[in-house]
Amino acid sequence: MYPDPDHSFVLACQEAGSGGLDGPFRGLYDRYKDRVYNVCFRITGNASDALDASQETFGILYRKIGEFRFHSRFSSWVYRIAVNASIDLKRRQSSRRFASLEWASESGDSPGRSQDVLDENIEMPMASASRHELEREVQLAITRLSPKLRAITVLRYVENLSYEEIAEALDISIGTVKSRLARAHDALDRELGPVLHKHYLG
Amino acid sequence: MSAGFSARFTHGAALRALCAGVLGVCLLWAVGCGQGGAKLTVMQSPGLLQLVAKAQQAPLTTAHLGQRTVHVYVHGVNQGAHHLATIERIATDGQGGYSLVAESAAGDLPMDPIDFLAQHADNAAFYHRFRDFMVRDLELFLENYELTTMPVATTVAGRDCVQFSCQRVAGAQVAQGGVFTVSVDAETAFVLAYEERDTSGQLVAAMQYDSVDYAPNLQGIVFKTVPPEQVLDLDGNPEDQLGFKPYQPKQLPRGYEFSTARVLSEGPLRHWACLEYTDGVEKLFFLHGGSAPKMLVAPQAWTPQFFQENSPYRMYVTHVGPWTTVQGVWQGQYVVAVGKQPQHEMLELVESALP
Amino acid sequence: MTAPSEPSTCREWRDACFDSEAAFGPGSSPGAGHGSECAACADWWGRQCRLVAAFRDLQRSAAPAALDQRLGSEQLAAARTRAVLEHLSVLHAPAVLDRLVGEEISGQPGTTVGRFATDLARLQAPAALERALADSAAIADEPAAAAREFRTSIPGGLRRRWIGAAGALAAGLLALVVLRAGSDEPNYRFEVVELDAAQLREQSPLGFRFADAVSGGAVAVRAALGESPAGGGRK
Repeated sequence: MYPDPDHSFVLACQEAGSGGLDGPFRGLYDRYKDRVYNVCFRITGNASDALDASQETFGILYRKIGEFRFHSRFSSWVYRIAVNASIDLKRRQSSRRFASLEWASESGDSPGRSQDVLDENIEMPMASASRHELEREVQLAITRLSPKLRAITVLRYVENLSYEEIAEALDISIGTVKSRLARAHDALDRELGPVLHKHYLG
Repeated sequence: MSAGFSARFTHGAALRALCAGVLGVCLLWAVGCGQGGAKLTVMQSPGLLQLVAKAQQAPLTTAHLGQRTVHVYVHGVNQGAHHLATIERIATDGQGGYSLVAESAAGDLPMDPIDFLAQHADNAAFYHRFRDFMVRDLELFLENYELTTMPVATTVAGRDCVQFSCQRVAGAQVAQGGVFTVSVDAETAFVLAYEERDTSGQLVAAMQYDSVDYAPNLQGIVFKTVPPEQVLDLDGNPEDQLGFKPYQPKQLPRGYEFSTARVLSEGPLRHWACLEYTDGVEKLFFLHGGSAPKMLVAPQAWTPQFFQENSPYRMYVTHVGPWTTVQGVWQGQYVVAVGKQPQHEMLELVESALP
Repeated sequence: MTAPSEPSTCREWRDACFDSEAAFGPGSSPGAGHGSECAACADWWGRQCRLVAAFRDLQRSAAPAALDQRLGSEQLAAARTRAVLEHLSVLHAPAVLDRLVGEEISGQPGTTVGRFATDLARLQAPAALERALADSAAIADEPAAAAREFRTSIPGGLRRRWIGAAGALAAGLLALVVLRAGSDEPNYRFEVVELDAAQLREQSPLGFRFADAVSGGAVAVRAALGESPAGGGRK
């Protein structure tokens, strides 16, 4: 269906069956680990969760790769799993936050406070303090988006996927991609407008 | 009393009446001892009884603003006691509203201080309701607790207080911890300080007000109220509320009685039955969460050992200080019990709840 | 690239901007028409461009080496195991069955007895016992003196009957204690496994946070310190 650049890697994994990272799966892993990690990082908002979600993603890929039939690009499938793993992880954490024991009706008082705090230990090169601040603000704004808008924003602007690739990865129509992107822009504009004005113009 | 408790006697005129009462209690106590060493009960001290009864409602009906220090001690085998101290600003509006904010924390913090304070905010409602010493059921308190020291006059945060010590009555299975020394404001019945020790005398927890104001300026304080509870109607049709029939313990530790049942919602799709029990002071929780999710843990626990250990026929027990936590999956149903009772009593409670 | 040229409202014009994948990118412009005529939309366009630029400036990081370690063959094998487990029905055979069957088919006599024997907790004598022993040593002479007085003050026949009755009473009490001890033996339908607080966090976030909150943070302290609990080792 597609001239999938990963075709041969996937076939090799399917034929080999297993072998862990020492087998053909290594090739796919090396091609995708950075992309998967970055998607997971931007959606979960911190390095530790990104690592968990990446691990989950590759675990699922490893288990299910035998079932992949090239009905979509392999990359779209990978992105879909990574997005879902990241969102699921946050959802589970949010369930655990009930564990914060504010009963349900109070849970809206401090939405995601503890889990959304950025990990100060993120190992990322920063050109300057203001750059650091901006990056932090942008990441916080992403984290405050709903899971659907977060996913579409990350795939579009962090991974530079086309509308068509996003539609395939998220299993939605191109029209939905556009409308969600517009909604994400609305939300981000409200959050980041003043900060970006100051950074770029002020 | 020790660390941070600095109680001292006062000689103010306002205390004269109180001291007279205390003297009366001493006489009663002496008479009681002379008649065969009968236990000293709160009933023998009408003044204290009145105060304890009033203390149940005091935070709901009296506005106040205060700063207090809360101490938690964790005793380890190798490293001695670890100590965590949190300074809290507490306010009540006299109409059921409360505000509990951590100002700072020190000691053996389990995490980054900022995260710790954020977590404190998350848990504030729970702390407000369950963490500190409180007489939760007067009748059970009178039945299950005896005084270990005579009530005496003391001062905490500049306020005249009555200080008494109590513990579970002899003969009952003594809870781990549960030996309290409490200072109650003689006028307002606020608990202004308490210490809790375990049965070997080690300090487990303490709280003391450093300042208190009963005519405060409460402007600018955002009060929360304990949210209306979603009461679980155990006698009605709890399946309709939960989506499953809740397990209910049939064997409780001695002295405990059922207190309340509520529905806790963990996200929109998952509900827990939370059954609470009390012996008058202590709390004991039994939670049943319906079908156990297939994946209970974060992916970092991916180990073959984990899957073997996550057997549906195991109960996992954890002891921290006086607390015992039992949890596990039974026939696909997730149960948790948390209380201060010894391990075997907690396990018997869980066992008695399983079908 | 330019934005759409025939909008009827600001909202429609802005929505239509998303039709082009190149919108807000480097070199893009709002084009002629509404985008240049409407000051609000021109300002909006500028903000979206800054937004996209900020996203494109986000740092990309390489996957950490820890990911490689986590995805070793053992972990992937575990993932496969989990996939199988997830498709099983809810009712699993208890894990203890594996061990029992293993012992059974290994044909080593005495393994079952050995297992239970080694599972028995080795308890330390409580300090109270030590104190009681010391106390009893200190007053050891008192009962001896009392016994001498008892022997000399009561006639022999009566003394023997008293001793006999006391012996029977003691034996009865002993039997009662043994029977009660037998009936108190825990007989749970589940295995009991002790975890330290750090493991509790992994096993049940709910249980962990519940216990942590009710203990005022003691559980998290214990978990962070990773030390076994005082008086631990019960099983």
